[in-house]
Amino acid sequence: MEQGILFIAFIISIVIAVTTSRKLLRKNKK
Amino acid sequence: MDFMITVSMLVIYIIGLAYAVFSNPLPNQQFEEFAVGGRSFGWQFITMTIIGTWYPGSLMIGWAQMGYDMGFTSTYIVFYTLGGLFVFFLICSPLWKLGKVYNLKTMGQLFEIRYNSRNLRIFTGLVVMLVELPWIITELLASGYAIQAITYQRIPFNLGMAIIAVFFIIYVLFSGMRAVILADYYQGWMFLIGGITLFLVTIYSIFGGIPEMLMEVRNLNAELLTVPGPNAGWGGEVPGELFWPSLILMGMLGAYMWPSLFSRIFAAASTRELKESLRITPFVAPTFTLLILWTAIGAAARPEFNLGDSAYALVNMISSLGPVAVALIGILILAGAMSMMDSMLSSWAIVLVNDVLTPLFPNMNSKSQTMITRIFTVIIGLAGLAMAMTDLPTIVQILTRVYQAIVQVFPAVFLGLVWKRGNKYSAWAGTLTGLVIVVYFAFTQPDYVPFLGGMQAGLLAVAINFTVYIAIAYITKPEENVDDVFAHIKTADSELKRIDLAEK
Repeated sequence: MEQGILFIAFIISIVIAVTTSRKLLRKNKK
Repeated sequence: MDFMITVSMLVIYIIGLAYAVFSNPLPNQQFEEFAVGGRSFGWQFITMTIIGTWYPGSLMIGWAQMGYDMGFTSTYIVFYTLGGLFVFFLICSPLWKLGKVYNLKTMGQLFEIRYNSRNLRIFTGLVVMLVELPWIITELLASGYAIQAITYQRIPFNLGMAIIAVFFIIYVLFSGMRAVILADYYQGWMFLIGGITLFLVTIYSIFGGIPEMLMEVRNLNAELLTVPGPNAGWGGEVPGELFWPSLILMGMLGAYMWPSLFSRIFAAASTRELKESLRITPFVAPTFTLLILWTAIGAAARPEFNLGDSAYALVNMISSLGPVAVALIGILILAGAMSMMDSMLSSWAIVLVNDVLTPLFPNMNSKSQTMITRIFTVIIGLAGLAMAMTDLPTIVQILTRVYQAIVQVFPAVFLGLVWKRGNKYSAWAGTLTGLVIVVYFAFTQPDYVPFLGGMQAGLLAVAINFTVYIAIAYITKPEENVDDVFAHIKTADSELKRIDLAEK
């Protein structure tokens, strides 16, 4: 179970980092 | 099977990082764009980049060892992280405004503007860079270790270090500070979600909870839950009761004087963005540090994870949870190491070009500055790698001893921003006095000074530094341009106008 929780946390970190950085950069340019 | 899991996670992580960085090229080749990301980043980026740069990979190795061996004492890092953010709050606004007006990129340049001394610019540029230099070696070693752990020793130590070094050199070359900020933003999320989850899961699955863990530590060795002092029950030589508070105060004053963090202030889009970053960092940064250190202190209650070197006890304990945990702790060490090394590498190359070469060759244009900074990036990165692969040269050992020197620029930075009287004489005299005292004690009593109640010598030096600065400022005249400089500090962001100073 611990392994599952850790893997989900790992994936969530990457997904949030990539998606929000793109969104924020677009906002920065405006 | 385990190997496949850990390596797949590493590959996913690296692909994500590469995508975050390489999908955002530089809008132009101007030096301001390369050195401070065009002063365009919002508070979300500033928050994560401070978190990313703040944590070294060695936090989970060397500093975890301090937690294992010295217990609660190691939590000084938590307090100085918070104190450092208070210093950041005090200096960020005036610093950013001067940066905007005078196109500042480094501390050396601030000194030239504020103190009218080009020599002071070159001197401070070199001093802060040299004092930070040993960190790149520590961090390269941490990344070599992390790669080795993730690949279950199938990739040798030196090869792991080289792969990581080449990777971050390439992305710093690609877009300078912009790449650093995007990479740190990405790695900051790994600390925030991956890291906090990893340490909580470790504590709960191995000990059953934080109270249970601390009870185990108390039952094994209650001293680990105290700080050093004459009556704290510590055996052997005790540093004295001022040792622990002085560690905190030194860390706090020096926190944003490291060139890699100092230059980050200039990358923000406004003073408002800088201050808004403080909505999150004072909560997240200490929480994450505390979780790491508590887990490291907890590891002391499980001696079976100390396989001969307490520096790796924390990693060994976490690794016992299975391959995903092995990959995650390895990736966190890598994230810490890379986000610190990329910041240092780009900052040093920028300091060298901006504070040393530009004053010597004033006709250099902005694009040449960018090009030469890229060349320095490669040279410094590869030199760091070569040093990390060999026995540490004496010069690096000496520099490691004088880390307390970084605090000695604090009085000239801070008083320079808040007090008009300070001038070049006070800045030179204060800084040099502080540095001489630090160097003297670095070779006599490097860790603490017994006759000062265990205080660190750097703190004595900075107190004398402040006194000398103030005394000299009172007996000499303020700089002629000081009123102009302070007028800019009092102006609102939107009304600041760029002043282009021709390099003399």
